Parts: sequence; C-alpha cells; structure tokens
Amino acid sequence: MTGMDNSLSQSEFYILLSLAIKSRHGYEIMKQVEQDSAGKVIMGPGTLYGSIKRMLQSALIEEIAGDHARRKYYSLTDKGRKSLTSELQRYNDAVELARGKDLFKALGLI
Amino acid sequence: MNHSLIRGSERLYGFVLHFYPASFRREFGQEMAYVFAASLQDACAEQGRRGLTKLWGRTMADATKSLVIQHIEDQKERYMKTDSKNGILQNSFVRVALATALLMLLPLAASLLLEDFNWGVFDFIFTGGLLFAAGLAFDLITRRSGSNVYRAAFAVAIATAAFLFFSNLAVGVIGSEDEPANVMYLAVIAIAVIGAVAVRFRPGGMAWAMFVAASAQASTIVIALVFGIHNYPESSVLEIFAVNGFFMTGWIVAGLLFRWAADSEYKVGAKAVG
Repeated sequence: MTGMDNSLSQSEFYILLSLAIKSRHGYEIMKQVEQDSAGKVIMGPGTLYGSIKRMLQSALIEEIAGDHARRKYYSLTDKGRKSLTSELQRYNDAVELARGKDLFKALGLI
Repeated sequence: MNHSLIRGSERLYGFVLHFYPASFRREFGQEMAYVFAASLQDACAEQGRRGLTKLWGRTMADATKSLVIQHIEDQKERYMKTDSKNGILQNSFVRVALATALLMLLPLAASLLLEDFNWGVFDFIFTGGLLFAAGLAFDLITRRSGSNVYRAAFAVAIATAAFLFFSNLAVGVIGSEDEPANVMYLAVIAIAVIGAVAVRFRPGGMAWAMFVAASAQASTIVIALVFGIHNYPESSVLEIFAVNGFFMTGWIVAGLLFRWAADSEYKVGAKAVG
C-alpha cells in the first residue's frame, strides 16, 4: 500500500487483479499482469518480488501450497480482496462520473 | 540460440542477485532466478538474440531500481528495530543529515559575509548531496565494524573520493572543469567504488581496491603527459604531478590502513582459534 489513503500502487493493483480468479506463482503473475495491462506494465523479477514482499507484509496476499512443491504460490487474503474491490469500485465511480459529464467525448477519448 | 549464452545469462543474473540485501535474497532469490530463467526461455524462443538483448535491458533497469528500493527498505527495517531501543540519533539518516546541515552552514555563512563567495542554489544542493552521500556510505558500511583502523581507512578513502569528485567538477583536476580529459578522474573513482563493492568492503580486499585506484590515478599522469596536456596554460608538469600525487597519497594511505585493519583482524582471529 502506498500513501495515506491506503490506495494501491500500479504494480500492487495489477498483482491483486492477477490473483482475483486463482492463485499463481511469480512467473504466472508476471505474465498475467503483462496481459491484463495490454503490455503497459512489464515487471522484472526485482519489482515483482519487491511488491510481493510489501503485499505479504501488508497481509494483502498470502503464500500457499501449489501444484509445484518448489514454487511459491500466492493468493488473495480477505483484506486483499476488499482492497481490490474498493479500488475497482473507485475506478468504476470515476468512470461513471466521467461518463455522466460526457468527459470522454470532451477529452477526445472516444 | 546458443545454449551457453542462456546458461551464461542465468549465471550472470545469479551474480546480480548477490547485490540484494541478504534477507530479501534468502526469501525471494531462488524465485527471482526462476522467473528470470523462464523469461529468458520465452524471450529467446520468440525473438532469439534480439529477445535476449531486450530482456537484459529490461532486467538491468529493473535490478537497478529494485536494488535501491530494497536496500532502503532493508535499512528502514533495521532502523525501526534499533531506533525503538536507542532513540532517533541512532538513525544514520538523521545523524548524517544533521552533520551535513551543520557543515553546510559554513558555505552559507561565507556566501552571506564574503562578497567573492557566490554559491548558487545548485552549488548548495550539489555539495550537500555529496556530503550526505559520503557520510551515509561511511556510517552504513562501518557501523558494524568494531575496528577504529577500518573506520579511519574508510574515512580517508571516502574523503579522497569525495574531494576528487568535487574538485574535478568544480575546477577540473587538469585544466578547467570543461577539459574532457577530466573524465579520467571519474573513472578512477569508479574503479575504487567497483573494487570496494566487489570485495564486499572486507579490509584485505579494500586494501587492494585502494592500491588499484592509486595505480589508476598514477596512470592519469602518464596519459596527461603522453597527450601533451602539460602544455595547457592551466596545467604545468609540476601541477599535474602535485595534484595527482596528492590524491594518490590519499588512496595509498587508505590502502595501508585497510591492510593494517586486515592484519589486526587476522591476528584476533588467530588468537581466538589458538
């Protein structure tokens, strides 16, 4: 988590998003983030595990047993799921607001 | 794709991992190596050598950024443990920042009182930043050493590097500060820093790193004379020898002190074993 308002960093948001459906190990997370962000967020191992470390400390994710005994798998905790939900809700509210004010057209996005 | 190139890349990344803090490396090092190896296979399968080059470009940028972040976080975690017991002045950041602020009062007073002393905001920021970085490096690296000789050696080495760096950018060791040949002195500092990191700041290795830096400093005299820099109006032969000799003395003194610290460590170890 970053900042005073408990909002997520971009990396943390995409990692939570990648774990929303199922638990994954590091490389799967990295590929899923790349896919979900349409190639805009490409994390290297240092950034990925730096974020994972902080998210484990903040109890947003947890380490669990997975298919491969030698790989570490991660899944969302209740706190992480709530955090992702509220972040998505925040984005959704912002999009609704922008749509209501016809901002997408005004800003030339559509 | 050449198999040895892939194996070499994996080994090289394994080496890069050694620069992360030990606790981080223990917890995630193996996973990071696996993620890199998997990325490597994908990149090579998709784009061959071009993929490998792109992956290394991304990986080095990622490693540089995350190394800095992880070391800062590691230090923060240590301070949080020690500061709760020992108070805020035990915190290196606070202590070095205070010392830097006190030292910076000198140029501030000079700029207020002396007409010829005209430092701009950039000069203050640059000098303050340099002093802070040098002080922090000294404090963080020597804090776990019980040897005063090691601390003294490190202080001499840092002072030599900082003074060389500062004087080179401010007035130039050879000619003016705009003289391209002065890049040599940044290389001398880089040699000392890379050597120190490579030997992991151990006293015996540090002694060699300092002697190599002194040799590099000496070689700048030869280069300056061969390329005729002594013919410039600002740099006579005597000046080139005097200025470089001054910095060589700094490196050599630091090296001798490190050797002394290494010898003392060896004797203490031998006594403990004996």
